[in-house]
Amino acid sequence: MVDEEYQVSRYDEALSLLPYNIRERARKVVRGDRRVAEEFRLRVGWPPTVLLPDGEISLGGNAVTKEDINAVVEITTGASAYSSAIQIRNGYLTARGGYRIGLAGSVFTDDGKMKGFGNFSSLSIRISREIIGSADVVIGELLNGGEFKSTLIIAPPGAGKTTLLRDIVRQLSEGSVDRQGLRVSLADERGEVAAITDGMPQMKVGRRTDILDACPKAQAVMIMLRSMNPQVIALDEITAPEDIRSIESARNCGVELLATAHATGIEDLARRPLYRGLLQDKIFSNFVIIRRNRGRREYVVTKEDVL
Amino acid sequence: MIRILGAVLMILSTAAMGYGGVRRLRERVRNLEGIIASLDVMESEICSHLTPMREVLEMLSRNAPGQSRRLFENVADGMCTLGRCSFYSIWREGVETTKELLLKPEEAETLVELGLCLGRYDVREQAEMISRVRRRLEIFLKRAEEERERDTKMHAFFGISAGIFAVIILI
Repeated sequence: MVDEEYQVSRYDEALSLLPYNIRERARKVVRGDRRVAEEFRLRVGWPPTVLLPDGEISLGGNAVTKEDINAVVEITTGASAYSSAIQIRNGYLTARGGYRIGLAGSVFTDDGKMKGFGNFSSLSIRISREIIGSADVVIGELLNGGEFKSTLIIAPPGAGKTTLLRDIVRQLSEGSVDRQGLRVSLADERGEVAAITDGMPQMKVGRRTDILDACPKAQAVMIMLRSMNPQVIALDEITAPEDIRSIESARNCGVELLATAHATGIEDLARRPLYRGLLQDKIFSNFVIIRRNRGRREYVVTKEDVL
Repeated sequence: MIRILGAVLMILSTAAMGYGGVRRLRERVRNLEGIIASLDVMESEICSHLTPMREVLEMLSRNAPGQSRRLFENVADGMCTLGRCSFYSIWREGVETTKELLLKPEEAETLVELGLCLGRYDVREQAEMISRVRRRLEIFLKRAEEERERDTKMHAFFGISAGIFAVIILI
């Protein structure tokens, strides 16, 4: 049973990232919606909205201005946007508490390469929630015979991949009465999974979990492989060829992997050249597909050997 | 005897007023020098080391020369209102409430303008703004030094002579 107070409190904490005028409007959203709200969305020229499982609802009032967007960046970075330049260049910011802020706007380039943002025109604030026990329904199948095998979580954006990954990491790391915990190395590039603040994870990721945050995933995997002697390496969102290469290296060293990828299913994944190699090389033994059915999440576990 | 004592006290008090004026002129120069030196540190911390603003402010509120550290103390204190207020308004409030700096309105205005740019994403833009503000403050510093050279003797002279003049009239 998910703690309702906690669900609402995550929404209320995220309010502090909004500019004062929008914050007051967002505070008036009814409790039931605050409990399930997934994102705040601010687009210049339009009233701010809240994304609920059924779609976006407007918060009304004046249209969002460029200053409002800049205010969110200012609040999030503590008036130090320059010190988060690398994150911003990649189109996101991570706020205290593990809230991810996606950014869009005008990009300036140099020699065909993206150098940064000139202007922000819209943003989304993801209200991430830790759901302790969300992996209960799948962990048994992933630990067939008591041994964890490399697993890929597949779902479209916003379906709950990170939440599930976090809870699997926690359960693997903590262990149970009849199973010893594993040493898990977590490559948390965007700081969303563990939400480290002052060296302390804000989310529960388990006592045997070592975290390398704010480091590009591919590098983080290689660093942890060399330095932390992991039994499992976890990383959120495989998106680039270098991520794939680092995963293959880790696998060749006998380390099990836990990762996520954007796709609707295994067939969808197989159609993409980036992931096709992963499937052909049988890097992952288990696939967890997350589907949404009338606002509820359903998890389907598929074994590599039945593909 | 009482008359002599009164005359001495009278001269001492007007001389002290004159000395107060002299001290003010010297303080202004020292404060402007302190702010300019702090801007150098700020530029280096923001543009080269990408140090977060809170740390820059804390560092300067500990180490900035003389009264200029009060400015950074006040801005650092105001940072707890970030979210309700913009950084620009926190900075402006900091400049306006730090009376110890003895800034003239146009000097304060120049320093306030810096807040429009500080903390933004573009490091180059901030470096340019800090340089521009520093150049203008250097001009103000030159003026303050000239003022100090010119008016120090005048304040001292008028301080003592006003006392003597008052004593002569009263006697």
